Amino acid sequence: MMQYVHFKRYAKSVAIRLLFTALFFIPKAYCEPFHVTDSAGRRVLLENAPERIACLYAFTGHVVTMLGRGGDMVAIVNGLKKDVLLNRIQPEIRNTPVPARGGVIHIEALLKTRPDIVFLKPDTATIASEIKKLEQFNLPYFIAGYRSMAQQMTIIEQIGKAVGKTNKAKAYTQYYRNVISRVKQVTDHIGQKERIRIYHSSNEPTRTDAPGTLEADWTKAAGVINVSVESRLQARGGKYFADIEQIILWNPDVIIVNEDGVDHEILTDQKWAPIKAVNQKKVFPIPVGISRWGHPGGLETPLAILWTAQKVYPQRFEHIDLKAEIRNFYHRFFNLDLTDDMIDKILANQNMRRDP
Amino acid sequence: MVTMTSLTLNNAGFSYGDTSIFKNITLEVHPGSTLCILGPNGSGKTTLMDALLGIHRLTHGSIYINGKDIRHLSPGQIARVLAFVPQNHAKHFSFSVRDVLLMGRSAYTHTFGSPGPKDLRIVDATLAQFNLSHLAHRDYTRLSGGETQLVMIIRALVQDTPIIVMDEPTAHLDFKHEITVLETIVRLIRNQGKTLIMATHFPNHAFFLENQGLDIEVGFLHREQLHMEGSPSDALTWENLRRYYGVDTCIMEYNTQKTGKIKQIFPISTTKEA
Amino acid sequence: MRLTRFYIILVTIPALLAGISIFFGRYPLTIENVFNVLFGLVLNHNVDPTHLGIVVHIRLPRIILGAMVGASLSVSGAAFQGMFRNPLVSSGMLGVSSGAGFGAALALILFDHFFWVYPFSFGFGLIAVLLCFIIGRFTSANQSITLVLGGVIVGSVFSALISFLKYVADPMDELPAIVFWLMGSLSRADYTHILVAGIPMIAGTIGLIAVKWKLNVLAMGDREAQSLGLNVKAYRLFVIICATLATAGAVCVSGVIGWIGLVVPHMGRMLTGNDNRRLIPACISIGACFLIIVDDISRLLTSSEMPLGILTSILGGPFFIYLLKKTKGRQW
Repeated sequence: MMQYVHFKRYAKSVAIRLLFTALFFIPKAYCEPFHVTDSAGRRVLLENAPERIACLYAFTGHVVTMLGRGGDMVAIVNGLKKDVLLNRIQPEIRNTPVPARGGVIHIEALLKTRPDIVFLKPDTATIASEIKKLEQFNLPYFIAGYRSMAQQMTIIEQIGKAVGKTNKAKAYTQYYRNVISRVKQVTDHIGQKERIRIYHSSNEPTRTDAPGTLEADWTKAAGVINVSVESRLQARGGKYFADIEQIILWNPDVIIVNEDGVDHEILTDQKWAPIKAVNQKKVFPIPVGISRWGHPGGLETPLAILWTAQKVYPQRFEHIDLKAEIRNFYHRFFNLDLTDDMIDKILANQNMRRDP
Repeated sequence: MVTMTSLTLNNAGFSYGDTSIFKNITLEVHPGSTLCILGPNGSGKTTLMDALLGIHRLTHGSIYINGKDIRHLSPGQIARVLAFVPQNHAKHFSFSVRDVLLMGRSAYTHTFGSPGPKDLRIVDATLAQFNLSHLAHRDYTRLSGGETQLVMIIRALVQDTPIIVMDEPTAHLDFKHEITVLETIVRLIRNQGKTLIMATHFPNHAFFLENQGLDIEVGFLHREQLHMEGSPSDALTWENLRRYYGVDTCIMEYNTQKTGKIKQIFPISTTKEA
Repeated sequence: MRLTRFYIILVTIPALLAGISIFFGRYPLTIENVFNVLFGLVLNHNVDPTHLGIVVHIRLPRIILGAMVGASLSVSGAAFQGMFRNPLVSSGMLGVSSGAGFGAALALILFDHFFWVYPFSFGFGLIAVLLCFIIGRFTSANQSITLVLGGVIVGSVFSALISFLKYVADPMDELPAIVFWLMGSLSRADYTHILVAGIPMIAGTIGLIAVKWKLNVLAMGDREAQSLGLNVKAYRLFVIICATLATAGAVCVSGVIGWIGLVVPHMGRMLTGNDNRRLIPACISIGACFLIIVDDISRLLTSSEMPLGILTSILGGPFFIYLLKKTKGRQW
C-alpha cells in the first residue's frame, strides 16, 4: 500500500513535471532570449526571434534578403527600392514603407510598422536624438557598421543570428573567406613591383577610396595597389575627392569605375589623357548586380575581388570561370537563376539600378 | 538765350486707383515765368511734379511740351526740357560732387556712353559760376543739407533745360541755407531766364521771390484743384490763406531802404470753425 | 593719362597672377618643364605629353575659367549693388544662385549624365529671375524694393527645393554629387566649358561695362534717374539681364561659389571709389585675381579638392576686415 502510494505520488510528480516541461520547457527552447553584438559593441537582447524586421540601412536589407527573410521586412530605405535584382527577388518591397530618409527616422511611421528589430547605419546611430527616439519606445536596434571585410563578415553573422539564419550567414561568410584565400594564393606570388596599381572611381570621376575603408581592404585582397589608399585624402561628408593632378601623379595602370558612363568620360576627357590607364584604354566599369560590386554597402564584394583580380591579372586567373562563379553565387545566396543575358548585363554595368 | 518753350496742361488729372489726387487742371506756363505751387503737405504737389516730369502718367487729360504730348516723349527728350530738383535727395553711395553733377548730362549721352570732356567743362564752369569750385572733389555724402541742395540745383543747371521743376527745395534746411538756396533760385530766374515751377508749403517763399522784384504767379493746390490766384500780393491774402491752409494770418508790409517794400505773412492761429 | 595707367594695372595684375598660377599644382612640374611646354607649343617641337596635358588641359583651362567666373560674379554683384542701392546685395540676388543650384541638383537626380547639369542650372537660374520679375510687377511703386524682396522669396523657395532634393536623393549616389556641386569647384574646367559658359559670362560682362556710367545715374534713385533722362525701366531690365547671364554662366560651370559677388565689389569700392566707370572694370580685375588665388590655394593645399566656397569665405573675410580697417569704410 505504502509502495503504491509512493508510486502514485511519484507518478503524479512525474506527470506534473512532464506537464510543466511540456508547458514551459519546450517553448522555452524555441524562444529563449538571446544576445547579438552590433558594430558599436552593444549587446542587443532579443526576447524572441524577430518576425517583423526594419532595415533602415540598405546594406542590412540586402543581408536580410540574402538570408531568406526579405519577405519579413516591414520598413526599408529608398536605396533598396532602386535595385532591379532586389525587386525581382522581393517584388513586394515596392510598397514597403520608408520611415527614414537621409538618416533621419520618422518615428511614428516606424512605430506603425511594429518592428521587432531595427537595423541602423552607423551615421544614424551617432545622432543622439535618433537613438533617443528608438529608446523611448523600447525598439531594439542593431548598428551595422564596418570598415573592413572582417568586420563586415562579423556583422553579417550577427545579423544572421538576429534573424535566426545563422547557418545561411555562415555559409556566405565562408564563401567570402574562401574567395579571399583563393585569390591570395595566387597574388601572394606577385612581387610588390609587379603589382598593378589601380585607381577606383566611385560615382564621380574624382571621387575615390580613402584608407581605412572596406574598399581599401577589398582592393588589397584582390592583390592590387589602390593608389588613393596610400595618400591622405580630405574627407567631405564621408566622401573623398582627389585632385586631378594628384591622380596623374599616381599614374595608375588601371582605372575601375562604378558608374555607367564615367569610364567613357575619363577616356575622352583631355585632363585624364596623361594617365597610363587612359593611354592604354584600361578603364573598366565594375559590374553591378544587386548593388555596385565592391561598394561598401554591397554584398558582392567577393565577386568584386575575383573580377578585379581576373581583370588585372588575366593570365594568373585563367582558371577561374567568372560566369560560373556569378551564376553560382546568385543562385546560392539569393535564390536567383540568372540567364546568360542577365550575367552579361551585370558584367557590363548596365541597367541594374532603377530610378525612383 | 533760352528758346521759347511752352508747357501746357490740358484738363490734367491723376488718381491712384479710386483715390483722385488732382483733376481738371488746365494751365499754361509761359516761357520765363515763375510758378509757385502752394499747398499744405499731402495736397498732391509732388504727384503733380511727377506728372510734369513724366514719371507718373496722367489718368486724365494731357501735358504738352511745345505742343507735343509728354506721353510720346522719351525720358531723354523730357529731360532736355525739364530739369528736376528733388525735395529730399537720398544718398546711397559716396560719389564726388563732380560725378554727381555730371549726371546732369545723362540726357546728352549715348545709350551705352559716358559723359565726355565737354560735359566735364560744363560742370566745372557751372560750379565756378556759383563760386563752388572747391566742392568739386568733395564726397557729396559729407555735404551739409544746404550744400547738397545747391549741388542739386547746379545739377539741374548742368542739365541745360529751359524749365526747372523744384519740389520743396528748402525743406529740412537751416535758416541761413534756406535763404542761400532762395537767393540762388532768384539768380537762376533773373540771370539765366529759366522758367521755374516750384512747389512749396511755405507761402512766405512766394513773397521772398516777389520781394526780390520777380514776376511770380501763385497757384494753390486745394481739394484736387489748382486755383491760380495771380501774383503773391494778390494771392496771399488773409482770405485765401484761411481758405487753403486753414490758418488765420496777417500780412505785414515793411519798407527798407535797401529793397523797398517787403511783405511777410505772420501766422496767428489755426482757423477755428464755428 | 591716369586712366591709361589704371587700365594697364587692371589688365597686368590678373595676367601676372594667371602666369604664375601655371606653375602651381600637385604634379611637380619644374619651371623649366612649364617653359618647355609653352615654348614647345609656339615653336612646335616635341614636349612631354604628360607635361603638356597638365599645363594645357588642366591648369590653363582652370585658370582661365577661374578668372572668368570670378570676374563675372564680382561685376554682377557690383552692378546689382549699385542698381538696387543696397550694399548687401550680391550677384546671387534675384535667386540666380539658388535657382541654378536647384537646376543642377534636379539634373543630377534625373539624369545619369553630368552634361545636363549645365543647361539645367543655367535655365533655372533664369527662371528664378523671371519669377522675381513677376513678383516685382505686383506693385507699380518702388519696383527696386519689390524686386529685392522677390529675390529673397524666390531664393528661399529654391533653397528649400534644393533641401528637398537632397532629402530625396540617393545618399550613396546622388547626394555627394549634389553637395559637391553646391559647394563650388572648378575641377571640371575644360575648354568646352570656357566656350559654352564663356558666352553668357562675357556677353553679360560686356553689357555691364557698356552701361557702367548709367549705373551711377541709376544709383540716384528711380525718380531722379528718370528726371535726368534715363529710361529707368529699360536700363534696369538690361542690367538685370546682363548680371543674370554672367552669374548663371558662372554658376553652371563652377557651382555656387559664395561670398565673391558680395565682397569683391566692396573691395573695389574701397580701392577705387563708387564711380562705376572705375568700379566696374576694377571688379572684373579683382574678381579674376581673387578666384585665381583662391583656386591656387585650393589646388595646393591638399591632394583632394577643397570646395572653393569654403576658401573664399576664409580668405575673403580677413582681407575684407583688413581693407575696412585701412580705409575706415571711407568709400561708402
